[in-house]
Amino acid sequence: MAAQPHWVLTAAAGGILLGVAEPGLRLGLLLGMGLFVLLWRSRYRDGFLWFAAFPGLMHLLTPLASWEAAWPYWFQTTFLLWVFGVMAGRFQRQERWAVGPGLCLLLLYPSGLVLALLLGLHLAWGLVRELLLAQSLGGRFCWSPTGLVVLGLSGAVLLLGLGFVQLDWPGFPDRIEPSQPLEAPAAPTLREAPEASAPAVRWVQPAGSPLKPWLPLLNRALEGLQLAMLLMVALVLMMAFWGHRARGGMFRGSFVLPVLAVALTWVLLLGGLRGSSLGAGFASPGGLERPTAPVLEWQERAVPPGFTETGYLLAFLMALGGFFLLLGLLYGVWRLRQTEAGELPTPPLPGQSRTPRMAPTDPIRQAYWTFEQRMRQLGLPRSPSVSPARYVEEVSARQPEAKPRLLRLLELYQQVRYGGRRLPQHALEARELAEEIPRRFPPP
Amino acid sequence: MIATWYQRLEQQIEQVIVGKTEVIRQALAALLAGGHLLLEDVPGTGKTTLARVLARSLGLPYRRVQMTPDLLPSDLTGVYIYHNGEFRFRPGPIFTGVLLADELNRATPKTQSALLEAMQEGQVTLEGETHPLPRPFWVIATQNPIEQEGTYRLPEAQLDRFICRLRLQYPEPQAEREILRRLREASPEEALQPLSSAEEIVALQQQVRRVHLEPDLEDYLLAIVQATRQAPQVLLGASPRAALALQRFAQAKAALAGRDFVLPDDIQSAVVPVLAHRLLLHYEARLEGAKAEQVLEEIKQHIPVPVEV
Repeated sequence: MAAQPHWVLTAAAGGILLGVAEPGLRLGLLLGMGLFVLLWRSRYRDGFLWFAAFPGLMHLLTPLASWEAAWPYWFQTTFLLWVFGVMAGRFQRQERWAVGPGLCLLLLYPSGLVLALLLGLHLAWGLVRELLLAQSLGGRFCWSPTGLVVLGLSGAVLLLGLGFVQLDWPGFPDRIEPSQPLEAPAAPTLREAPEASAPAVRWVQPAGSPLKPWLPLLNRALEGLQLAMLLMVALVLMMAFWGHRARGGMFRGSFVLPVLAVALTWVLLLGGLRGSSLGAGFASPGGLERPTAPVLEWQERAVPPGFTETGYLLAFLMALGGFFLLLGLLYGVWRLRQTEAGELPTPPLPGQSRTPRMAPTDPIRQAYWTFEQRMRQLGLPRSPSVSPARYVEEVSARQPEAKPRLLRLLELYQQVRYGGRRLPQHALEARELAEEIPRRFPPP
Repeated sequence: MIATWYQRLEQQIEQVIVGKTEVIRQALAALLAGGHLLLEDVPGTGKTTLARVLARSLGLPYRRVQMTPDLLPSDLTGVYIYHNGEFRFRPGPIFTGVLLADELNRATPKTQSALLEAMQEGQVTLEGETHPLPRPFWVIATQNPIEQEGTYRLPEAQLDRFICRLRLQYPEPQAEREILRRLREASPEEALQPLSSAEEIVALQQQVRRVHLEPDLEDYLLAIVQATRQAPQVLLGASPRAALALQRFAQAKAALAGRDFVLPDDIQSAVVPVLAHRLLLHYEARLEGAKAEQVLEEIKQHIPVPVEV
């Protein structure tokens, strides 16, 4: 039997963890991973839950942190991520109750950020899957007019708001602190320059300092990212409910927003790094407390305020992003209005050539879709004009042993897809069949 | 319920009609869809026998009319006769449950047209008076596609009234051997029992109308119908009546399979029997040897089945 990529990755991740762990922790880790794999096998099947073990390793990046000090935090983060992954998996299977625990977990510090990132990965995967599906069907990914306006405006306002909070405004607190994604390093031992004024000073790392020079910048970027992700996740979850009510998906394409947010934030982070005029220097560390007890000698250098200061740069880029998003929104609305007014060729009938498609949301339809995708990867794709029943016949002809399972999956799928039924009680069975058939009976 | 009914009938009909399961299924689907049946094939393939066996098994009154050029419309519909000082209506053979119009294309267009109202509306109008036909009223017409002398091609309006056209074709060698053996001494047709009734069939026809058709499949069906109007080889595509017939026939096929919802397969398997006789190909296409069945198969190949939306 061919090794599945998920298992290979899990084994690799486990091996790395065991390798870097302290000897005394290895037994516990091994047992924990075994439990994790067992639970994963029965409760969560989306593939990348092994990722839950990695974000917690960020605790090791904290200056002066050791594994002994960091491992409880790693454990906490990993556990929360894993629970969150399970909740996200249940949510994807139409079990709406999972939103509650998922949202509660999002609020927990310090895991909110990585939890949001994990959800972003889920949503990104949803987007990729939709794009692939649309491509395979000869269609294209599209927005609905209402969804475009609501999401475009929300995104633009969000970006502008994020830019706003990056600036120092008179009468406002130093900056809005949505949360503290990373703990301040213990006793960074900095000395403030006597004539320093915040926007005009760059602190330069002294030789031998344990403080990572990129840490404050990362700290600040992560704060923005966390706020963006939290808002975006809340928005997407709300939209999931609204979109569920409207047949055909009022918010088709909403999956793209978290991906945009992540991409934009990382672009901004890179832009911030490049914007530093001192190369190895860093901006005034917003997330760190100003030191009071000078121990190390720091070089200081006055630079003119402007785009070389991280806050201004972030604000500028976000304003720019918001502006282009608004432009794109206006263009999209204009195009949609033209289409509705008949100035552009109307799309052909569904089923005729290209059709806007969404990845299925019903778990049984999703299971059948997964089955078809895996069979496609194994070299036995379904032709678009072939019905599921005929496709199953084709597969059965090549793998007669799989026929009973194939027929069962087909029966469930047909009832849901063409019979207008909902069979949540058979969702797990369909999922298992969809995974088992390609694995156990790959086409010769 | 419909599936059980079908199995019962199929079992009996196959004692006489050997190796034609799909034709039997489609013929019964036509009945349940409330449409009329056109059997087209060369002589001796069992068209008349199939009609007779169906009528007997269904328990419906049955009349056979041999269509000839000198047959008058009144020979079908009936006449008013003067009797005891008053005109009385004497119903023709059309007032029956199953009417076998044998070699329909031998009748003149005038006589063929006499069937139009009966087939479409289930009634006959004579001398300004309307006479309803029994329910169900099912016309099974046959025609020979080879012999053309002394025949009148069925007009498009007439063809459109038939929900489907079936071809029995020659039996497979094994099935033909089985026919020889079965009919060597006995006549299984005589042992046929009525297994249904007019009331039951009407109830089943109502049930078929309630079979669920998913909106995406509706789009798929319409895409096929519209594609027949845009195909370059086609002069006259499928009519809205053809779309209705396709929908009803697919519903009936689903019901016969024991389902209360239509599958893409039901539509796909209904396309050729329901639409082929309705398409009129361009003269050039016919010269090149194109057939309506081929055109429809090509259309099916080019329209994606709705699988995920």
